[in-house]
Amino acid sequence: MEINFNQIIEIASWIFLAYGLIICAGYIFSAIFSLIELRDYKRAHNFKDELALLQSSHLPKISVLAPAYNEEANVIENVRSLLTLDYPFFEIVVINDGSADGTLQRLIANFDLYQDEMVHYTHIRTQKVRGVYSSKNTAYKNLKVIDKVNGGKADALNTGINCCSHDIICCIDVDCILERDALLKLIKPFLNNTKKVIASGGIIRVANSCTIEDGRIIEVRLPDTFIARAQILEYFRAFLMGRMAWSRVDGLLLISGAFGMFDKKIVIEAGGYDHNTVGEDMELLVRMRRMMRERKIPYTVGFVPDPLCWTEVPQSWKVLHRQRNRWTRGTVETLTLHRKMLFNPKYGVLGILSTPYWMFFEWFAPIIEFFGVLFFIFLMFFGHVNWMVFAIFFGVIYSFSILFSITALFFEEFSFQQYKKPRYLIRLLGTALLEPIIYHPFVMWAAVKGNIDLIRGKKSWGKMTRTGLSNPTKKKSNVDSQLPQSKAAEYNTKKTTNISTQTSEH
Amino acid sequence: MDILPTSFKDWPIILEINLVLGISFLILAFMLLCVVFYLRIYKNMRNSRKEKLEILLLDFINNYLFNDEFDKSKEIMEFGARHLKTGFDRKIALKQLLIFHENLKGESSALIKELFFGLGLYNFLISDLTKAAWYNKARALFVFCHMDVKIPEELVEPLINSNRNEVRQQAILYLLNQPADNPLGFLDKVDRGLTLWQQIYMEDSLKNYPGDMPDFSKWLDHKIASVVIFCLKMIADHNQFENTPAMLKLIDHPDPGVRQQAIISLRKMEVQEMLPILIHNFPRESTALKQEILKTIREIGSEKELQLVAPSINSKDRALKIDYLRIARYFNPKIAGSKLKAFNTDQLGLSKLSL
Repeated sequence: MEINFNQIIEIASWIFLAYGLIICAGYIFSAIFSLIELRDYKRAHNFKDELALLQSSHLPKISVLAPAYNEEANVIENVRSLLTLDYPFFEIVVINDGSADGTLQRLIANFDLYQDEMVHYTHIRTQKVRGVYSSKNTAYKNLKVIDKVNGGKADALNTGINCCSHDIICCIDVDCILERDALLKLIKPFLNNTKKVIASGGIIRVANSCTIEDGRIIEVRLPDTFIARAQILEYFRAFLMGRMAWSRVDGLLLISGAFGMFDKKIVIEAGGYDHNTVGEDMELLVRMRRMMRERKIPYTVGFVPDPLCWTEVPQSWKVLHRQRNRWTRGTVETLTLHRKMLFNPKYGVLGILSTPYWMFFEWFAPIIEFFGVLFFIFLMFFGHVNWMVFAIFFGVIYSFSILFSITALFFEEFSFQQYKKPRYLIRLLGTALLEPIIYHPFVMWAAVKGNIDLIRGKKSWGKMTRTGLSNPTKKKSNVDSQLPQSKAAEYNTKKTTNISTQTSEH
Repeated sequence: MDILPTSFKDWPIILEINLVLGISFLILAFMLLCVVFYLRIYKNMRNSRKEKLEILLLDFINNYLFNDEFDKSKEIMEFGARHLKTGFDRKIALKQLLIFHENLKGESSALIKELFFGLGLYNFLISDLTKAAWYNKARALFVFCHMDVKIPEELVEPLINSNRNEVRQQAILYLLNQPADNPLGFLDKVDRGLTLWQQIYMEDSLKNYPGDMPDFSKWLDHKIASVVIFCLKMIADHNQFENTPAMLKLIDHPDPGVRQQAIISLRKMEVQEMLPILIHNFPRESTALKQEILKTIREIGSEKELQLVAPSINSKDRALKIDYLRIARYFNPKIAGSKLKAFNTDQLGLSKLSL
């Protein structure tokens, strides 16, 4: 049977259409599940009575692990802010990952630290620990500082896991801004579940341009730059729609490295953070879930949609490109490492839904889209483009992108309505209209480049820089207008908020 | 060469599908956008209504409580008819009454209850309680509990085994807060495990229980492990030393969670009689329980007991060895810092650690 050129083109068109329809269906289901989950969450947490929790002597103790690398400029303010979190029993464990600046010296001087000759566990192999410091001042009795040889963020967190005292660990980026009740809210899935909870994650919000006072968000403002606003929409889609929906079906594969809580025992049994992947936050959760499933222990992963953690997103195209490149590599590495789970009913929702979804719509989507673009260029080159057809195809993709972004806006309005001013809503709408044309192709290319880099064997994080969240204690500081570039931010962006690109693939 | 015809009539199906989809998406996007704007306006209006009603309620409640010339029966009828027309209005009124009830005592508190009944809020909540929606039931129970309003027990009891955690918790808290000789009597009827969350709220309610604290040992043989664990915690918190013999038996309970809590509670109560049992059980316990036993020896035992468990520590179990070393150093601070340092710096240095 002979197939002519036109037939090939028609078949390709049908394949692209089918793929697009499957993605659309996935997003529609995700929106529905997410809506149900958000509604139930709001109803379940209608009774604001946290006093009982704060007064209880039986609340699980938490170790907050905050890796720091070259944080000299902000570390004191950040730690002070962490020390004021509302929770009855917690310790802050700052892990100085071989900083080349005066991070450790500043910590020692400001918090009156002395070297504690305690023996520490080595559940997970890490770089050498040079010392563990505690404070002589009882006001800082829940602060512990670990000084270690540089080994990267995963290694620093593993060291924290080895040296911390409590059974629940909360891994954070030291420069993230946490709401005062962040720990109280994130621990709830651990408390209010009949199944074993191995981890719980929260929503990461964009702090760019927000007004910060004493390390807390005072006023939520919309960033001035288009790139940051586009990421706000992306975060809405990823967290309010994607993660909530996956949480509903207990299929979450990722808890952001910027703010996640874990059962320490399970983390240790799973082997801790993997140093050899650039997406270790996702990899750890997948490994933990896989282990629980293989051991046939009933368990779940919690997700809290309240805005609890605020972070700065990249404000330059170059930095964004590096970040998305790395996220793609992290996703592909994780899926490759755990390929056994793909389509494997033994792993339940994870095997049948989550991992295939990630493979087709996170990993393959930008590649297929890229080939679609190439296909279009090919047709154009040979003069085969019917512009009416192009307009229709483009129209359907564009209209769906807008629909999806507006759905995300709806979720924000329905749930937490953080951007209160009407003009913010209008600007976000404008961003939604422009994003598929300006922002999305760029992110798609970054993801494709990530795949190329992975094939070429690139393993590095890539240098990440942030404009910076400023000195969090500074009064009424506007994030966008401050701050020299902070080396610490480079380290923190290495692992932070892998929000998954799921919602950026239209 | 045009691969597809340009005439609308001859369009292939794929184009028609795309066109229909594109238009549908645009219409949906527009509709959703309208919903977004509507939501914004609706929420703003609702907040504005809430603020206005709160002011009216504050004024009304203050007059009701403190103004002697206030015609209570007439005003209460008028206020209910004029201002509490919808479910939303009644919810705001309930919130305000709860705030007043929490902050007032004695006669004023009784007047707040009077208002609660007078404004028809009791009937409103009873109808919620009989509705199917779990969140209505949970809210109704929450209000009845916090307003100290008694309702027929047959409405509450079935809910202590509800499928929803939230309803179960509110039902438990309601029953616990009722003035009764046996506030924990409902535990006999519980056939689902208590979450930690529920336990914490129960613990909090018991702190305010006006009568004699119940004897928690009644439920130490309960079929549900979490109920036993809760009672063990409470026995220690309320220093019910008379229950130590029953607690000692639980060190051999088949459920490891119960065994662990029994050790923790007995340790908290400094019951040294458990040490011989713990030392005897040590070799067959899990690592987590062994760590708990070591911790107990540190707190209420001596170096002698520590040495008794030493032979049962597996040479490969580094975490236990570290615990052991820490406690050994606690009992005998002469263990040189340099030795500890050597242990820390050697990642696999098990051989260097001599117990």
